[in-house]
Amino acid sequence: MKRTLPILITFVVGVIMVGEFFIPHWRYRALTGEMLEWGIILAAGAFILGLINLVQVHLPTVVQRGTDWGYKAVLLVSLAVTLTMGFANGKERLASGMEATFSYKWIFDFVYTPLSATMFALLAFYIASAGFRAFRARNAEATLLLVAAALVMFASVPIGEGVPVIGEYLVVLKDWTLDVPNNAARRAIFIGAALGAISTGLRVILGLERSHLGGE
Amino acid sequence: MDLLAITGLLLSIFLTLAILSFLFDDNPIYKFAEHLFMGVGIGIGTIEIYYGVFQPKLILPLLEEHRLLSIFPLLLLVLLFAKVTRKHQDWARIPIAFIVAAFAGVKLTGEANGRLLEQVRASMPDLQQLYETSGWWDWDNGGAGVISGLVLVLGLCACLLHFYFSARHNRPMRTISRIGILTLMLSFGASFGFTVMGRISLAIGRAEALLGLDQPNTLIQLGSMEVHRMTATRWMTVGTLLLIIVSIAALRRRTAPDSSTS
Repeated sequence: MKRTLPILITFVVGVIMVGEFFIPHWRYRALTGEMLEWGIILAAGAFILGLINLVQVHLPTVVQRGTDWGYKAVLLVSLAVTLTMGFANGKERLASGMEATFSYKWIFDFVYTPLSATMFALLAFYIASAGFRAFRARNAEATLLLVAAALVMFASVPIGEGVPVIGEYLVVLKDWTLDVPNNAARRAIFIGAALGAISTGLRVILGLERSHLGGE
Repeated sequence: MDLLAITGLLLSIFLTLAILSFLFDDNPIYKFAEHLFMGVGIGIGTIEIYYGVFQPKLILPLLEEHRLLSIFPLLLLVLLFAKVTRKHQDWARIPIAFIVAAFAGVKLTGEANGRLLEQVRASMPDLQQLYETSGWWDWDNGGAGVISGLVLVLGLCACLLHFYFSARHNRPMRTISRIGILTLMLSFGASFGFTVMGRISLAIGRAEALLGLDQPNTLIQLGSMEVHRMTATRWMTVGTLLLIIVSIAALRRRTAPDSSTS
């Protein structure tokens, strides 16, 4: 019963959702639309479940002064403050002018935005350093990888565009590389991924794939 | 400029430099900023989920519109939260099965229709029309033309055949597969370059913020003094940088004897 009922629900819900493609009637659309809304609510609920789990994991460490308890306290306090300000500010939380007081918008503008932008900017240094180590023109494939990356990077900056005579051609070649061979490879990957998603979806609906239900 | 705005500016400079301090080494100031980022990020995610999903799709329909159908997702949500209890966690399998099935069903038809068919359709250029509009190759039109159309189709077919592992890779297959690999390498290189440029733009944005170039250089009131915003930002950056360097050095000196004794 622990697994039979969920497998049955998976099958019924999956078949109903797939049926929308074959039954283009507004009543049926309304049914699948409603079920999709429930799915969105449950997916949001799963995020909250993750939040509860995070608190369950970190709070005991802080209370018992375990390893790295100070950092975990920072995490929990910042989480609590953000939640409090978010609920206190309500629908006006992101309105212009809210940053003038200590508010959710203030936290968003002066804490979250610089942190997230710098976190991603930090990757620039690591990607460049990894690329420097990995890009060696050992064979034709590696050379092509190196040339394409160098072309896109060089032709994207003013110094590349401004090279006499060949500058404008470099920009056209960069755009062409991104639009044509890049698109060909990406489409091949997308087609492969779509075939994979279809087969996995079928396996889930038919109950052949049960890993999402966990162990016994 | 009031105290809160100055505090915000100073805090954003500190947090930017704290994250960048990881380039030197993993240190307590970076860890502090990292955990702060996680806490605030999760908090913002939760708030946006509440106001974007729970309130309009569940709470308002239930409490204000008295929509009885909304009891079902509430019930499923309660079952989902049974996951946190050890005794009743098996009940959470029902909503999990619902989520997985709903999205698997949508993905199945969505991927087939949106990705598979659309991608194949978009990869079949009208060569006759391409020749009439751009000829074989048009430098003024980003290299559009018959050659580009052929490279697109042949590159796509070669990549697909390269991934066709169940076919025996004899000599013609190996040649086609190699063309596929070369197309993939071109694509990976271009994507890598594009990603690096995107990340560097972000780094430039942060550098501009640290140098005060991201805002108009207006006169601001700092206590009794009137200074240009850019000058104030740069002094704050230098001061914060020195503070971070001194703090990291002090923390290292404090932990060094502990590690040597252990």
